[in-house]
Amino acid sequence: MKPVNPGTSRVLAHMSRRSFLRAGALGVTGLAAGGTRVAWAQGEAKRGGTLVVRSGPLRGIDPHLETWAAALQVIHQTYNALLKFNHDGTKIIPDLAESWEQKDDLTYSFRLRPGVKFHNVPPVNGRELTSEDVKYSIERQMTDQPGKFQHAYFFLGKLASIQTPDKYTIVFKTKEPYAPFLNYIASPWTVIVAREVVEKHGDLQRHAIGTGPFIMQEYRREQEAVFVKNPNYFKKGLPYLDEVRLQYVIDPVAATAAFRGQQTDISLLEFADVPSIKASNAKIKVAEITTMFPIVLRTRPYDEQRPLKPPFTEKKVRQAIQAAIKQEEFIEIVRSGWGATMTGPIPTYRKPWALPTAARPEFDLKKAKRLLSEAGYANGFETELIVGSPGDNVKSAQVVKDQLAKVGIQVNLKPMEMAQYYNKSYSYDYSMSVHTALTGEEPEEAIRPYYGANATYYRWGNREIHRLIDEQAKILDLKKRVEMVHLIQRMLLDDAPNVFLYTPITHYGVQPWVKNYTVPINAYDQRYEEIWLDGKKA
Amino acid sequence: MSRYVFRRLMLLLPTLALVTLLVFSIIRLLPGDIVTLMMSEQGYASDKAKLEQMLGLDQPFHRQYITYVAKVLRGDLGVSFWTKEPVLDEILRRLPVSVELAVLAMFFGLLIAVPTGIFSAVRQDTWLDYLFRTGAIGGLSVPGFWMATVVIVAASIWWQWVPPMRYTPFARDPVKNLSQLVLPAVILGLALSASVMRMTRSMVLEVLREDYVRTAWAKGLPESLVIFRHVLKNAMIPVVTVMGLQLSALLGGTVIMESIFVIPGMGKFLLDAITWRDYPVIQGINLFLATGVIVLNLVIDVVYGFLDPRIRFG
Repeated sequence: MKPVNPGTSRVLAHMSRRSFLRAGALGVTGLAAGGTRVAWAQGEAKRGGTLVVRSGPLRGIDPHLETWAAALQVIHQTYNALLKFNHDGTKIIPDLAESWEQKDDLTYSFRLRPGVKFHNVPPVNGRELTSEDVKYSIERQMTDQPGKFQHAYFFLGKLASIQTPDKYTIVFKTKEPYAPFLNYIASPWTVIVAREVVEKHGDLQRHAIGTGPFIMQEYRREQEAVFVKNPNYFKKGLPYLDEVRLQYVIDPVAATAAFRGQQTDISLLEFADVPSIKASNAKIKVAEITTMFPIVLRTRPYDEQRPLKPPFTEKKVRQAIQAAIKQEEFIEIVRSGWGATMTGPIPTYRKPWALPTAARPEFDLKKAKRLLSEAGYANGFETELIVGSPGDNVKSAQVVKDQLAKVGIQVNLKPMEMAQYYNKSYSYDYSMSVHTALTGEEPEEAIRPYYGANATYYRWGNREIHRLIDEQAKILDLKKRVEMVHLIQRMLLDDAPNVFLYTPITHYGVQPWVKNYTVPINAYDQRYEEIWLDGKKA
Repeated sequence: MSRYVFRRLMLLLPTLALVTLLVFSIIRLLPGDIVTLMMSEQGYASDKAKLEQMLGLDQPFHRQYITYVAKVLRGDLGVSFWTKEPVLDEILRRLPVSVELAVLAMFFGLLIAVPTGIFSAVRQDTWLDYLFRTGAIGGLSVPGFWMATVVIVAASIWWQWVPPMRYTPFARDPVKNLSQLVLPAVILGLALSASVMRMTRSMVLEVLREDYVRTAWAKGLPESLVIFRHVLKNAMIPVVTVMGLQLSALLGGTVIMESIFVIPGMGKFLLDAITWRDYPVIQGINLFLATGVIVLNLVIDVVYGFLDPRIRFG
């Protein structure tokens, strides 16, 4: 999209928004439309230079004890996992493991790349990585540490044994078939750390010493993190950059200004600023990345202790709400077009797990009214909707109010401060809410914590769905598992506890001199090892 | 004098006790408690009772408070519930930044306010007086965050320029440090100068009508001597009060300025702590701020004595 003049660019921007909606409806994100990710490689690789990237708020940087996505900006530069996902998020590829095999339904064996060295800083001083480190790291990650954030659920209670027959071999045995196993091994949170570092510093919240392409030199939370090139990185010739700096900028206005003022090379931008930034310099690239945080309209949760209350006891009422919701309007009004429609709890770009477009519940006001009158609410009803403020979700709540009014449901909005909102949300006591959900590379992350038997984010007491969610995790055959995950999602659409509104699309500005930046499938994937700079800063 | 200061400092203790008690209870009364908030984060702790116990929130209120005060008296402000970083370290890291910004803002504020205030009073009802007064009303009406946004957006669009976003401590590189802080300090100073200017002007006008000023004129003293020796000194007392109040407000940090100019000060820290119900951090910051306000007030009272010999300490 090269603007001829600002006027044309506005028209083009608008057109592309429209086509976005279409792309979303087709079940693909804007960028994935071509099938492959765009790598902006031009000319020959150059070495040296400093890449400055805008970072968000960080709480801590321990990969095993942190859950905020911003921490991955540090983790990706300093650590490696056994395996990783490709930029599309569709395939698992080797990282520290040069090969792996699944010997039977329960046994996975990994062969480490020989000669991989930890960073040459104390206390590891560049010693070689061994299978013992892998064992230590997985065991550390799956240790339940009360009072800390964690990813223990990846493997806690799932593994029968971890063996290290030799320096480069590691063998995992699961207790029963565990389909998510490889996805969690390839998770960026499952990186390999060194025991000495943990023992020296107590945890890894302020130190990041691993095998990654960059060595962390300075870390000042909510200011900056500075990394220098790891000269002994195991991928020959990488990284190209001498230095990476994560610059904390919280204010969106300041972030856009910093990007315009060329103080940052890669920066998350507000969609409203994108057209003018593109117009100011046609060479600036803007990567459009669909987030992994879908926006969901929830109806009242329930479980054994908290039974449903009318009118939500009626499945037809929930289905009526689903039929009265028009996703496109949310995307247009709340995000000015920057959102993808949804077919179920799993975002549509997450293939093959997401339901096909055909499965998407239809927007049909007549059907909604019919369902309401069949449920005995021909004249609608009055209900309350809670939403955390400030943010886009307040706008979404207003659209919900507007859309449901058309079928006679009067929604009273109750925006509240985030802390109070979470409090209500997690005591599972509300009529309706607009919520930002979390998903992951592993498909069950979008389902189990919400609709599973021991769900914590939401509660839905449908036992059959609980059973199927437990079942799908044991199906190792990909095709069969996909079918089961689809079936669960169809059941959820039928039961309609939640209406899936949209998945936001975010923008990353990339300065013209940043080369070989591969647009990742989601913002989680922030690796800078293959980036080089050319013709820096005019 | 020293007895007066000592007595005033002793008064600090009951005031701080009251402040801590108030803050301590108010944050616990807010809807939305930290435990549920933490439970909402995946896998933080499996059961609520255990988490409450770990955070010490299972104890009755009075016991929590006594434990807290006992710790504070030993110089321990506790650790943040969320980051587990010691609160004292976090505050000491940010306080100097906020103090520097506040002092700079005050400096620019005075630089603008006092001369224009005096000038407006001495040349009352001239077009320059009207201009300065209009400017002051403007300064009072335009919010600082708006001005900061306009400045940063306009500069970035027109000249592709923004002040450096990377914070450098003053001790390491004064030039880099100031090049980041000057702009926000001037903007804060502008807003601040408006009220100080108006106060200076009206006080100078009042003092100008005093008998001793007429006497000074009658003695044939030059204008500069009358204004600076006889008028200004006596006019400054309420101005100092206003300045003191403004300075203590600035110490608490200025969230918007800090966010826009990426300054690691107290404001954003306090706001985040309140948003995430980080009790020890909120308590710690308030303790510091209360101490700051009390000490500042004391300093102002002492300054009165120098400005006006009629004021006695006793």
